Amino acid sequence: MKFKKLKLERIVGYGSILLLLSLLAFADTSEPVDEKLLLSAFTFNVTKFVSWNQREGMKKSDAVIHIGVFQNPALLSTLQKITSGKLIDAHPVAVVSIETKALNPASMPEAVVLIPESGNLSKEVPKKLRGCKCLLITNGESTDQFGSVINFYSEDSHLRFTIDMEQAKIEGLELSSQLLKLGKIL
Amino acid sequence: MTKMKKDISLQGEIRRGQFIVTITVLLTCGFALVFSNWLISIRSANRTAQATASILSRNLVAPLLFRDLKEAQKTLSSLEDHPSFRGCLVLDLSNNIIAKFPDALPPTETIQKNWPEYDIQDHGERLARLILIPRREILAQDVLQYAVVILAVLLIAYFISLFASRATKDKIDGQIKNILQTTRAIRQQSNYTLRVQSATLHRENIAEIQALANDFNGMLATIETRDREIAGMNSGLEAIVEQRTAELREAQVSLVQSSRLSALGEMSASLAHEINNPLAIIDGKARMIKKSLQSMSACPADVIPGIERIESMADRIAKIIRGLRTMSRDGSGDPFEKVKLQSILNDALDLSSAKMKTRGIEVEVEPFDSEIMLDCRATQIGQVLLNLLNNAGDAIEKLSEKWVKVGIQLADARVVIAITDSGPGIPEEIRAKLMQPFFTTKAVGKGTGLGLSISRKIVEAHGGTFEIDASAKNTRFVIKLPLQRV
Repeated sequence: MKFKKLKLERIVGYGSILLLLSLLAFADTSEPVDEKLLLSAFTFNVTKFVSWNQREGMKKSDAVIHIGVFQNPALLSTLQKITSGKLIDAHPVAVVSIETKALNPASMPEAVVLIPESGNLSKEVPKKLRGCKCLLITNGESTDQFGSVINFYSEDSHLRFTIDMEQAKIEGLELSSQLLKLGKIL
Repeated sequence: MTKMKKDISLQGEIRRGQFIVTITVLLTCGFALVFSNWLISIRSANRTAQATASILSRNLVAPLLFRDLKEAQKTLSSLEDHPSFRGCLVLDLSNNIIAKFPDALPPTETIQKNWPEYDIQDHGERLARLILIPRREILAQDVLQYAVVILAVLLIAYFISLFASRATKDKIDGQIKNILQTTRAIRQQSNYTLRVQSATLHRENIAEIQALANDFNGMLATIETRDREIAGMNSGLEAIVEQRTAELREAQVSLVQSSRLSALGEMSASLAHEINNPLAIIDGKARMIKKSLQSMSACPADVIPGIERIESMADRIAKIIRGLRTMSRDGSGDPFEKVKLQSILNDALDLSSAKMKTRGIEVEVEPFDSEIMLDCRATQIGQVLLNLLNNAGDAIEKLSEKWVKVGIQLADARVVIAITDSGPGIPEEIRAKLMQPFFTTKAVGKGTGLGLSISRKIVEAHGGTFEIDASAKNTRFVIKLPLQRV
């Protein structure tokens, strides 16, 4: 009997090890996606689908497309890395930081990323920048409260975005149909 | 071991050659067609693939940039019912399939090397790879279509070539049959005047065969000409042989005649010598007796005429013997000398007179110039005249009216001697042969058939002519001799 008990214990023990190993083998080994990197990539990609050449001051090929990042040094740094040496429609790209006191609609860059590092964006900021003729990009559940053109949101572990066509019209932006196909049109 | 050579028909050979040429041409054309179509298909497929990949890539950039695989999948679904591609795959930079169409693409299907592959790029940055999956059945359909077209073309071309070959064969057949028929006819009939006729069934003839026929005709013409020449030479040879044979026989007979004449001459000389001596005694004694009797007064009146008669007969005998000696010798070697024609004629008349008298033939010599001198071989001319007189005597021997007339005339430094008898003339069919050697109308054993022939030769040797006067009512021979030797 003793012999039988020992054998059963061994079998259960080995089985448990095997089960653990197999579970480890089937475990999700994919690396977790860096949210800032993703946001940076999406921001840069969105700017690619805007017809910048139609805008005043962008007719020349050496005119720089500026992307301003509001109160987010980490995103600023990532975006700078991503866009380093890249061109959009033959225009060089420059990523700049925007401070609160510099929020003047008349002197805004071509694209403005309103995603503060704290995660809390004052409703007043987008309102203040309305009509700045720039691409306003925010990150949140809805664009209603922010009044931006592009708003990133998460859905089923995927980063999605909404497009406020009304706002794009106000800002005088022409967006690519491909972008429109991918985004949720408001 | 030598291989037996086989005869093959022209038709079979044409068909075989034609079949080989047709198949070769058609297969070459077929393969060229298939190859060119295949190249065109490949180029077209490449262009289609490039165009499709370009559209897909452009449309896939945004979904890939925003990691919207559903949209990417949606973009790929545009390939549904595409005529050239049955699906496609999108691979990330680690070669993992991140999107595919159709969804039900068998997982076992591995990526084929020959599937067209394109990079999806964004502003020169490679995002992913797009692989298009071509439809296999398209290629199979193309091949089948090509095969059907080629087969149809092959059959049509083969039938056209059959018709063409039949026409060619008929053309060649017609020309060759003509040549064959002609050669067979020539072989059977040995007739080299036949010629190969041009084939008239077709508007055109094969130039080489026509040239062969023309050369063959030329060869036949040459053979025909040579045939004629050989026949002509044969007949000429026969005539020459006949002439030579006749000349030989004539020479032989002439030789015999000559030897006979020679023997006769010798015999005549001997006889004359034997007769002349007693005859001289008779003549001498008769003259002496006559002289003695004339001196005698009592001589009977009828004795003297009797003795004179003896004298004249002795003269006559002497004359005959002299004539005989002259006529019986071969005078062909005698020199030409001027002789009175009357003397020659008298000798001949004397010799024939006994025969003429016996047969009751009256011989009349028409008056002529007795001083006519002839430059000739007197013996031979005398033999000619004697021969003509004897012939005339033989010819009219049995006629009721029997006479022979000799007429002599001078004309243009020639003497014309005509001997006419009472005969009815010589029939035309005999006249032509009469001068030929060995031709005679006399009974066997009575004539050699050489008399006239030799006489003509003698006259011609004297530069004269010897003719039968066909216009005369009676039989008339005319000899024309030049007075001076030619």
